[in-house]
This record gives sequence, C-alpha cells and structure tokens, in this order.
Amino acid sequence: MDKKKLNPLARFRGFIQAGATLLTNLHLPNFAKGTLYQGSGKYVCVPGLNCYSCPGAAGACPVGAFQAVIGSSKFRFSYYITGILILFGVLLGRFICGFLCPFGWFQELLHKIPSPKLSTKKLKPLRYLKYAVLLVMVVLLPLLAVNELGMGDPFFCKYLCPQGVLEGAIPLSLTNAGIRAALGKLFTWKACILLAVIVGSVVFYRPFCKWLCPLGAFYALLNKVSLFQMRVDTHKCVSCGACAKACKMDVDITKTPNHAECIRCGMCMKACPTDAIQYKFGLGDKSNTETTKE
Amino acid sequence: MKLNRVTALFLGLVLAFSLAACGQGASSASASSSASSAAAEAKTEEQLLAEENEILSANDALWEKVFSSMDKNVTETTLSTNYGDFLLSAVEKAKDQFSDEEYKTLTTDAEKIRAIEEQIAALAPAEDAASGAAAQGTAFPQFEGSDLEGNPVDNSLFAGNAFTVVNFWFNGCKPCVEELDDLNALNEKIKAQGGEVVGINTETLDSNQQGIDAAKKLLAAKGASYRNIYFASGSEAGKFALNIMAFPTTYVFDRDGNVVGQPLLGGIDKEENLAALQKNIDAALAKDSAK
Repeated sequence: MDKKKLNPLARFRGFIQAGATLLTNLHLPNFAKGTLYQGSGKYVCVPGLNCYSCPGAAGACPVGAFQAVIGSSKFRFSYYITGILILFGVLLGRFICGFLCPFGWFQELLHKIPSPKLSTKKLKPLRYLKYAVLLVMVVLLPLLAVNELGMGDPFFCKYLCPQGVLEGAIPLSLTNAGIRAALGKLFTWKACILLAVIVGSVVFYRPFCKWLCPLGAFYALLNKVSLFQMRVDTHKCVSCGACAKACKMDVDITKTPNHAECIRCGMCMKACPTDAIQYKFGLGDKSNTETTKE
Repeated sequence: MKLNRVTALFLGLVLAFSLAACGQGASSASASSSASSAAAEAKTEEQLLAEENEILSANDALWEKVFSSMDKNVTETTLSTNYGDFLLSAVEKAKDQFSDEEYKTLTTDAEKIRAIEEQIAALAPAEDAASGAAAQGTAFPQFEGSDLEGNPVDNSLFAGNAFTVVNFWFNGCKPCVEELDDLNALNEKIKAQGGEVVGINTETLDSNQQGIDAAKKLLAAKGASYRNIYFASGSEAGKFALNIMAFPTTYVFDRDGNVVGQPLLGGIDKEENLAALQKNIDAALAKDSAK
C-alpha cells in the first residue's frame, strides 16, 4: 500500500498540518512571556480555527474577527473578513480543515491515542448542527443581541469555542496572574467543552469539525465550488467500496466527490486499489471527473 | 505509514509537553527567584538591625541615659522619621547631661545608625519594585498628553490625587463600555477621599480624531464625565497602554504614580471585580495616609 505512488500532499499531510500549525502560531517565545503578538499580522486572518488570543498566534481567527466586526456598533457586516473567507473557501474549500487547521490537527493527534474507535455514520444528522452554530452564534446573535449602544458579544468565542481555552486561556493564565485571577464560571464551562472535545476526539474522528465548527461549515458551503476538488476516474474505478470504507468523514467519494464533509485528507486515495481518485486543482474540464453512478 | 503515525504522535506530544513545560517552567522559575531574592533582602535587613543594636549596646550606659531623658510621646511622625535622626535630636536635647566626649560618642553612634537606617529604607522600595514588576512595571511612565477636550495633562496628575484609578479601554470593547457608568459613579464616590478615575482609551492615542469622537459619544451615552486622557503611542506611556492585552484593565496608582496591588481585569459592573478594585483602593489610601 505504501509503495503506491501517492500524491505527496496526501502522503505528507501530517507534516503539512504540523507546519501549518507552527506557521499559524509562529511567535513561540510569547508562550513563556505570557504576552500576545499585536503587530500588523493580526490584521490578516489565518485560514484555520486559531485563537487570536493564543500567545503565539501570527494572525487573527476568521470566525472571531467576523464576530468582532459585526458585533461592533460601527458596522453591520464585515465585507473584508467575508471576502477573505470566500477567497479561502473558493481556493481551497475544506482542504483547509484537512491540512491547515491547527484545531483539526489537534483532534487528529488525539484520535491516534489507542482506544476503541466508534463510527460516526449513525450520527450524520448532527452534521447540520454546525450550520446552526454558524448562523446563530456567529452571525445572528452578535448582530442582534446587542446593548443600547449596538454592541454585541462574540457568542461563539465567548460561549462555545474550545480552541480559545486551549490556546488562549490556558497558556495565558499559566504565566499571567491577572488573567488567572479573572478566570470564572465561563472558563469552567468552556474548559468542560474542551474536555468533552478531547475525550470525544479520542473515540470519534474530528467530532468538533463534523458537528460544531462554524468555520468548517462556511468552507463546507463552498466545497462544491472550490478550485480544489477530488476527481474519480470512472474508467479506473472498480466499485469495490474501499474508499467509502476508508473515509472517516463518512463520505462516499464515488457518489459525491465534492461532498460538503470531504476534508480532502486523501485517505480514500490511499485505500483505492486502482488509483482512481486524484486531487485536482483549478478550473477546466471536469467531464472526466463526474460520476455516472447515480 | 506506521512510521508516519509514530512521528506525528511523537511530534504532537513534544509540542504539547514543551508548551506545558514552557508555561510551568517560567512561572515556577520566577516564583522561586522572587522567593529567594525576598529571603536575601529579609536577611540583610535583619543583619542591619543587628548592627544597629550592637552600636547601641556598645555604649549601653550612655544610651540608657538618653532614652530615660526622652519625651515619651512617640507620635506617628517620630516613627516614620529616620531612627538615627530621632536619636540625634534626643541626644541634642539631653546634651547638658553628658561630657563633650560622651556627647561625641553618642552623636557618632546616632549618625552610624542613621546611615544604616538609610540602607534599610533603600531596601524597602526595592522589594516593592520586585513585586510590582510582576504587574508590568512599577510606575506609570513619564508622559505628556491631553484630555479629550485638549487640556494638557502630564504625570503631575498623580501627585494631585491621594490615589488614581486608571481604566484602560477601547471603543469596540463591549465590557469596557458597559462599565463606563459604574466608573463614573466610582469617580464621584472617591472624590471625597482624594481619588480620581482617569480613562485611557487606546483608540484615542496620538490624538486620533475618529477615535476621540467615538469615545466622546460613548462616554456621553453612558453619562461618564470623568477625565479621559491620551498621549503619543510611541511614548513609554503609549507602550504601557498598548502592552495591555485584556480589556478592560484597571490599575490603581498612588500619589507617586506607582502601581498599587495587581491590576484588575474585567469590568467593575461585576460585584467581585468592584470588590477587588476596592481592595487596591484601600491599600492605596492606607499607603497615602501613612505618609
């Protein structure tokens, strides 16, 4: 299986994830100092879910930035961040989840811990939860649940995001007494969420990505139109079903090669006995890639 | 593939552990260093006090005479002045009870003690500085700026108050804006105690007109009339303000512009935060009245 000529992207995915996480959190000395980088890099969003308040963070979190802007009294909508998100989504789609997102990598590493692994196939309806999180916590509540001055809270960051606790609250409170003193009920609540995600990640594959992540939901909406696509060569495919079995995101790639849940991890490519599945990037003729199964 | 897995897992663990190690290592190292330096200071202070006692006991009989002649009304002021000076004045008063030579020994002793007292006094602020350093700098940096109306303001601001509550905020910060009315109420309350609330809005630095206009609007909407000031972002004070990473942050400064206690993170519209701030205010007041 390893001898097969596998696309280098899929082959070195773990290293790409590690590299992306490092690049996203480049300011490593800040972990020891307990301070944040506040330079001009923070005017740009990173592609993955990565807390602005991580001491090492080199850029802003797109979900956090979006909420901050529409929650402010000055603006009703953030064209700049929506534009960045659409750009990322159209260029790469959920490839970002599979390769560039630090929190996705974190969950995958946890999943490598030996334990009984459970299938999420029967939990498919939970997938739609993340669209609700995107719509309600990221867009509607920050926009509508405002005080008399038109200021809203970043509801997703404040009440749900486990990445904020992992990257922001925990490292900062270890080195900063003021922040340690400020930890309260909200921290306890979100630490519980983080703990649940950690335990969940050991038994399930990427539970947060599948069910809760609003950023993944946004990229999922653009997955079908993104320039990065999967291509199934119907002439090579022997319909053995190995790909669908290998897929940990519960996608049957032969039926829906550009399913909203596909994070382009390439596990189906590894499993395919005839090399029928390939990455494809760019515009151009897709006639060869379309399935004729349905 | 197995190798890949193992390396990935290993890398992940290394990252996780190094992260944990960094945080813990740094905090425990700083804790132990501050503990050891505090021990060193305590020891030297003890040594110095022992030296003073030696000096006094060397000429025991003479000093007994001085002490018995002393005015027994020890007031706050006598306690806070240098003990050496205090002895000198006592010797001066009882001068006629001693021969010239005895008087000379007593004054030299008292002068020695005064020198030692000065050393001890020098130790105390150093200790304050060490504990304050943990709270990002000990004193508010020298600055020249102005309030939102354009009136010039500088460090003399602190000297005019028994204590100054400095609140750092910015326009887009919801918890900051929501405590503006509470800060105004606090300002009215502490006026009688010689205190003042001063706001520093990081969006108004460098007299950024847009930021100032927005800040004024928010202050007016919340009925806050206490002073808000700004200065150049490149100045030391500007760096102090921009290094703050959690908003709102509220400091209490004493008359000399030194930080009192730990800065408070979070709005004082929450009861427990107000209580934490009150603790710092009480400490600052006690410090000021002890002077």
